[in-house]
Amino acid sequence: MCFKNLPIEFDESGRARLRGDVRDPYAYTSTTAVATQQERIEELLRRNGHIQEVSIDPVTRVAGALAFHAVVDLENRQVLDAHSMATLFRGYEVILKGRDPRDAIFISSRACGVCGGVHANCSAEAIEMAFGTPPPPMGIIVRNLGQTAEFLYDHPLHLFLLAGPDYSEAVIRATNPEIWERAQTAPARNAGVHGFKTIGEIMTALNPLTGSLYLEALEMTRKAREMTVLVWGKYPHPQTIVPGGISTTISMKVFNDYQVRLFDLLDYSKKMALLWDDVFDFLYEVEPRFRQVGARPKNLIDAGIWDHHEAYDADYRHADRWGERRWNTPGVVRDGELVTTNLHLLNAGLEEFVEHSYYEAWDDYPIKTDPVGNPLSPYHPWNKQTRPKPTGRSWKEKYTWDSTPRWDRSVMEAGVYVRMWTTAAARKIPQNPFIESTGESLRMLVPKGRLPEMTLEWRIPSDWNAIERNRARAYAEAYTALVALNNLLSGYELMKQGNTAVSRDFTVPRDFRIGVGFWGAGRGYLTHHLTMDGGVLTNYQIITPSTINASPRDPWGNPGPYEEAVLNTPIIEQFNSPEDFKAIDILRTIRSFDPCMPCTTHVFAGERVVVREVNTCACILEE
Amino acid sequence: MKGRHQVERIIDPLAGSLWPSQARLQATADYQGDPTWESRLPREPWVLVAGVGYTNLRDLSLGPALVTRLQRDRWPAGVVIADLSYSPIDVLFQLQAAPRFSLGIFAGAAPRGRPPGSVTVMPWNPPAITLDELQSRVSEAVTGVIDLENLLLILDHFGALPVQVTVVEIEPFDQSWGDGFSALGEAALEEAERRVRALLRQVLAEMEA
Repeated sequence: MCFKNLPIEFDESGRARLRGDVRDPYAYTSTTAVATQQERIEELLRRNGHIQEVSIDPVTRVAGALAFHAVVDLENRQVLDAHSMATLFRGYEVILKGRDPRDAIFISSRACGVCGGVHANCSAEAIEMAFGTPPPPMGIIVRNLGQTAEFLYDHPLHLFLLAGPDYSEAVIRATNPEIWERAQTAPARNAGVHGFKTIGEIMTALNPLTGSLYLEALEMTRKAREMTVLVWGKYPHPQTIVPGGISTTISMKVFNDYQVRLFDLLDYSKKMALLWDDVFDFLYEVEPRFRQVGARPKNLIDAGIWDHHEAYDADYRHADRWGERRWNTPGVVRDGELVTTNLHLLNAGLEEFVEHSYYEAWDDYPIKTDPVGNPLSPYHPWNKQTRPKPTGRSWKEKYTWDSTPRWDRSVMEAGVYVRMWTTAAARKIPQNPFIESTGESLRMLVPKGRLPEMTLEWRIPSDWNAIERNRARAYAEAYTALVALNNLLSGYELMKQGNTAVSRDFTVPRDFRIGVGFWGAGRGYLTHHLTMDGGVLTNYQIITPSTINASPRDPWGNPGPYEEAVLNTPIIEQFNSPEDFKAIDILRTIRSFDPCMPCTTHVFAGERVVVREVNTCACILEE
Repeated sequence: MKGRHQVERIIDPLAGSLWPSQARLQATADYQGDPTWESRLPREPWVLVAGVGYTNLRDLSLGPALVTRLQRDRWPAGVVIADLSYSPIDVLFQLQAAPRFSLGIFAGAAPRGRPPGSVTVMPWNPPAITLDELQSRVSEAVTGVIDLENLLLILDHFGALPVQVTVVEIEPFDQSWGDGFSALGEAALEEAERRVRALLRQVLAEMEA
């Protein structure tokens, strides 16, 4: 029984239905506890000089517009209150309504400047479900090759260019000199693989712009992007992803060029996992409170990604089956236990609330069950309407453009680490020579390249915190590269058989249709839900990983994942006066989620467009 | 100059359609660590004219609009007219894979409080910024921000700027959403195009001489 809050039960044949004894099954009453809590915090702020407000706006080294507000007790080194704010309106849902569904692939792709392919793929899956047009096997393979390559770019980008500097010499020296002191002599256990003798050497190599690891990561992101371009034609925002497949011309040369780069990244993945292991093990050793930085309950959600070319048929009725044959098993983890891997149930438990968001509620409830009869909430994305209304700006009322997605009315977290977790726990990964899902770990045999063959094992962690998010991300490079290798080998096989078709013809239906793309971004969970009628979209709803992670309080007063994790974070940073406080532990926590606030700067903010201030000296030659 | 022809376009996913085939060939040599590549630079002009900016932001979109206008013409081999309105890191990768341009003309709109519609042509003087500030520009670049100044700063840091860089800046008037330009923006676009063409004529004449 995976639901414990929604009144959903299962009949003898395992079909979900609403419990008969609950009169209004999805009704709820919003708590008043949030207002009371805010009044208490305001009182504390008035009375105590050592309790201070910390406003981080914008949070740097994250994609897009995120601000964070915290109330910190500097004397007791505790965070008392936390609010995550998406400061700009996305509005893709509004833009897409009334359009030809084929436009959605290209328009929704622009929702993010980092993951320029994930939305295109997710949208294509939603559309081909509505159209009834599954891609041919090679089309699925090529999509996967592009999607793995995109992540092979994305993971090092985050670990070395965005979150990595938080663990660099430059930052550690400034915020925790006592740790830097020990790092300089602490031996690195995996020096034989990555070449750094001490943790201090690794931290120096992580220094932004000058460190060798930073610069190497930049070069590796180039190779991964080249791989993406080889199979998708263009990146970001590929124009080749279409309903029913992909329009790229695939040849043996393309596969060979892809393979050469993939083997460089396979080698890189060995080094990446082991050097971050060294840094994180050291930090636990010298400062056990790091286990609490960014800690929150093990409640996680992932929609799965990378379809198996022999399983995926774009039919919602079979989503429970093809979902479980994905290279990344979808799933929900509650209190550390995997409670479902069934995409139907994952979908049935979804709701999106707007109590603390700049939107107004909606009354329509057109879709009461999914296509196989599972009950759906009025707050489900297929029923949700996006109605912007930026009013009531206060911590008690509304404070963000983000909404509040919940699963079974529980606070869930999304991330590439969830992808690792659900796949490791489920033991359902397709049979293959490289990746084994053991139930407790992912065991990965990374083939020989310049570095020897190596077995890496990512274990489901006992603690859940900022360090473990980043550690899993480091191992995700190897996992992703091996999924790519599996798909490449299948691609060669299909080519040998002459099975090279990458797309299938389709017509745009004129009757009422429904579709959902279950996919993943570099940061985890991604879904696009659509309805269409008369050949145009009548509703389009996107839930990104950062929609989930940056969400505000829900109607029951539970903080969103960033907020919750920051509230649990101890202040480890050393500072002599409030003016010296850099909030590095809070920032480490937030960045460990790899926030990506879709839309980046290309957005509407009141009456003005956000542009960067120009600093260059305008020494005029000619005017 | 003899043998004027349109810049050859490469149908190669790694090259995109930006660089002439000549650049691709030499880039390969450079990529493989051939230290002599610089001495084999083409004797022809090797000039990059780039526009940078978002589209559909009225006068803030003048950079890409200028490039669109220039691309309608035939240019001598070695003159590359490119819309570089994408992540500065990707532009960096592209430029690192080609021989260093001798001249770069970078155009875009930049609000600096000058009279709206004014066009400023200037050599690029990098501002004194710290590594931390530059890192924040890189963070913006890798997370999707398109910005002329970020582009120049990042290319400069990684040694990928052309030998000589001229910046053509337009002071925008209308900074709201939408296509098209204000009357002042439209006039500025004409003026910027005239200035860039004059610069190119001068460079090409010098090379021919």
